[in-house]
Amino acid sequence: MSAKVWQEIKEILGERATTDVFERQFYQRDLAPVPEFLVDPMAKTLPDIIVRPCNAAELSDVVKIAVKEKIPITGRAGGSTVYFNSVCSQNGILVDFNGLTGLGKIDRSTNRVRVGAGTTWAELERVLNRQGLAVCSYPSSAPSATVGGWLAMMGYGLGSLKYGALVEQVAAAQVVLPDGSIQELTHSTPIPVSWLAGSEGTLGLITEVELQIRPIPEIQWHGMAVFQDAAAMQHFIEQAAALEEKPFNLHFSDPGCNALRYRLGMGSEPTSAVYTAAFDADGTKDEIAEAAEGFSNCLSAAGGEDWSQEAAEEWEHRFFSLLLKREGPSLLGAELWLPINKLALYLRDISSYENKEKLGLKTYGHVVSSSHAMVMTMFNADERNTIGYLQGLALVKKLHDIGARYGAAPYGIGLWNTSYLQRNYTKTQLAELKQRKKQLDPNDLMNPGKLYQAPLFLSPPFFSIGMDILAASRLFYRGRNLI
Amino acid sequence: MSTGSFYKTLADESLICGRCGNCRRDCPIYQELGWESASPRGKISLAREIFARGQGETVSPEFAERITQCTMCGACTKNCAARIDIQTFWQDLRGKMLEQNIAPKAYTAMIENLKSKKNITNFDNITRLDWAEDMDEVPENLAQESGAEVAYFVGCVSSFFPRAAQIPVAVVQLLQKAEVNFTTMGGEEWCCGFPLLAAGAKAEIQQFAKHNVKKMQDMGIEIIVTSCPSCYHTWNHVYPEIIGETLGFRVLHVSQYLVELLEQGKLVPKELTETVTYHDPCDLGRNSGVYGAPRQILQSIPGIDFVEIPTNSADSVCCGGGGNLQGADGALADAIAKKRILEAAQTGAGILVSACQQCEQMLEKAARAEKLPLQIMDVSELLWLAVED
Ligand SMILES: Cc1cc2nc3c(=O)[nH]c(=O)nc-3n(C[C@H](O)[C@H](O)[C@H](O)COP(=O)(O)OP(=O)(O)OC[C@H]3O[C@@H](n4cnc5c(N)ncnc54)[C@H](O)[C@@H]3O)c2cc1C
Ligand code: SF4
Ligand code: SF4
Repeated sequence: MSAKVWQEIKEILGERATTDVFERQFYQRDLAPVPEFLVDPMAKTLPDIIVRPCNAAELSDVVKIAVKEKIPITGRAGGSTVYFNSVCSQNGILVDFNGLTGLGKIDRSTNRVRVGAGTTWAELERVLNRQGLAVCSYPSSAPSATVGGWLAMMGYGLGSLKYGALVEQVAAAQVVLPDGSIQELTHSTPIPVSWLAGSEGTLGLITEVELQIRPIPEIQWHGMAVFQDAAAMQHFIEQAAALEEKPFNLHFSDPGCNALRYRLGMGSEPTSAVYTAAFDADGTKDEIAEAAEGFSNCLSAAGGEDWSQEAAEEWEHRFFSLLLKREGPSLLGAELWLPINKLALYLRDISSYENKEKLGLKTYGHVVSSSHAMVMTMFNADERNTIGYLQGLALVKKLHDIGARYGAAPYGIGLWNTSYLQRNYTKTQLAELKQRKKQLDPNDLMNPGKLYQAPLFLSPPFFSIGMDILAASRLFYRGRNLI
Repeated sequence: MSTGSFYKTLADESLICGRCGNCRRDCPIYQELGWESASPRGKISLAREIFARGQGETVSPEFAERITQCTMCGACTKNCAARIDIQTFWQDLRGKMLEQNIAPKAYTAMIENLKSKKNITNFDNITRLDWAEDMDEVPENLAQESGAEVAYFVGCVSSFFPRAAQIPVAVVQLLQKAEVNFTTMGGEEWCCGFPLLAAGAKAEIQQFAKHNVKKMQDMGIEIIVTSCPSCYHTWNHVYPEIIGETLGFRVLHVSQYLVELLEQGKLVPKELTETVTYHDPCDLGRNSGVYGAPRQILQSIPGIDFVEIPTNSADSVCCGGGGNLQGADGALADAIAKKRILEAAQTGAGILVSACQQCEQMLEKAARAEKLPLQIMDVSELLWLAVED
């Protein structure tokens, strides 16, 4: 990075830009503690400059310099993703979005709000709640995840079953495109706002979002159903997801996960050995009454037991899932986008795999549409044990492969899931995505190395063989805490 | 759900951290400085590299500066997705700085001073009750009166800092008015030791705990009342761990005790027509769970129009005055106080009440700097105003 570029950027942002290596080192990783020797051949993760713009104009000026000088730009907001989505792969400029905050005008006639893309979901909800309003959906990382960050990812989480994916609640977004222009995208502009959903910062940098919101729900109601087997739980989930009055949140855990929760002081002994499905409804009194009746009907139809006395505690725990790391210290796992009509088969295979491998697998998931759930299957690991950790990564691939038997694809791509791209997209879809990228970012400067193409080490045949060998080597070496 | 601490060691907890960033949400330091290195997540990540991943065990000067930039407000702990007791983590991390001789002078000087003077100032500990000279008549039972039921643990700041001295004056007048059989430890009161914890000097607090507990036991005290939230927190949560058993006293923050006196009809407030708002001190609210008592007092005063600051109770934002931040980075502490006072001013209240002498000092200074027409008072001062003849 030339001194001239640094000077130009410094003139725009002053103290909100830095080349200090002490500061830059903090932006080199996300949640995943992948060992350096694995990362280094694939990605140059240390940003050259970090910028913290406060408005679209500042960001636009920075992007124009980057385009002129052909410098890669990577956006990072909450940094709460795990696949290196917001980690540089070719050094360059890292844009920290956390200064792009603030609430604009609320239009009460249409229930729409304009919000800075760097605002966290929890903060937005807090400010809206004070005015009798609420967001329609949010990720379970709401305290750290930002509005722009979730839009740039898939945008499914709590509330999605009832209100749809985030992009359905986005009326418009202000974006700095890869040419540095500031544009307002809607569903009817030539570049539709929907292109941003799942674009992972590769098509443009979102600065503001106009969002559909809702009146704050009058009341909440929390139910919990327990099942002896996964098939009955699937039956319940399918029925609940199809209800007219859908729950705001519908999520489930397998016995492995519930046993861990119990060891950590949550739940109760009876629920620690069974499948559980939590059903969280909110709305008006009438809506709640209807939802609660729906819950009971689904429960009787599926033959489960009502264990709603534990439901409120489970709801309160929704932002604290990392507590499950306590027995780790690290966790490895596969997060899958799985058809709910295949949930029981998936869980059956996971259970057989567990019987064979004794990994201590635990699975939980959120039902986010009437057809799909985001499912997480994970096991303990120890990042300090490099060989064991590496073998663990290979076992993650096995979990992905089990999911793939039932039509599952990874949830989120970034760098590490590029080897599974063909599970997420058909050839035609991928060609369409690449076309968008070429159209908007012909120099491949925005978050390069992510989403569209696996680097050599992660390209499918290479990756697949390597991972299978590693997984097999586990027969000879068992990493600490992996058994 | 268990609320007990899962805390093991600095290294263990650094590995448990999942780097999700939930802890950044309400951190006043991160919100002020904006760099990831200033966020709880950032600091824990670097501590992990140093102390759990074997990257040298040495804390660099830049990292040391970041470690001292923390008010110990506990907002990170409240939001931590892995339920790490992050304040204990900071105490241990500061302990590493002491071990490596890179702690700021403000810490080491304060530790040495506490060891020799038994209070956080340069004054002789024997002068602990000098504030009482502001009273029309110094109560006879003020110093180590035997047979007293209640002991008022005054705390260093209220004992020695002139502005804060109005708080013990108000507390003592209220106790007298309610005819409580009370006393204080006088010159035998030693600092509760909380500043030592915040400086990472965990071992040093032991003798302070043992001394204070022993003296209270010798005096046959049944109820200990503190007006400082950090003393309250230390007596309630830290001393029992050090002593290894329950202490045998009820420990109450003065606001809790005053509520009892109001409920018993021993204090009867008269009308005050004021719009009042309340700032939750971190160590009383978020870190000790006392939110209701100060508000109950305000609402017991006829004529008071009580308005909440938008971020209140568990979400309340720190005043900047905790965690020994003032000594390490006074400008940062002031910047945090400024944000808070501006938020309080937006309520339109004429009086901002708190229940902590340190919050009051910070907020009063900030209100003056911002030229805000906002009067800062302790909850006991306001109640005394409503009760006095
Ligand atoms: C405990 C936990 C629970 C989670 N639960 C969910 C969940 O329920 N649903 C879910 O979808 N995910 C979930 N996640 C993953 C992640 O938190 C979300 O995807 C989140 O929305 C990412 O937002 P962020 O602000 O952290 O973005 P980052 O992680 O900083 O970035 C994510 C991607 O978006 C890009 N980006 C960020 N901001 C912008 C912007 N303003 N403009 C353009 N591109 C941008 C980045 O370049 C990167 O590619 C969870 C993670 C954790 C740790
Ligand atoms: S204790 Fe408060 S100031 Fe310190 S890191 Fe936590 S939130 Fe920030
Ligand atoms: S919230 Fe807890 S787990 Fe998440 S980054 Fe902060 S300290 Fe780590």
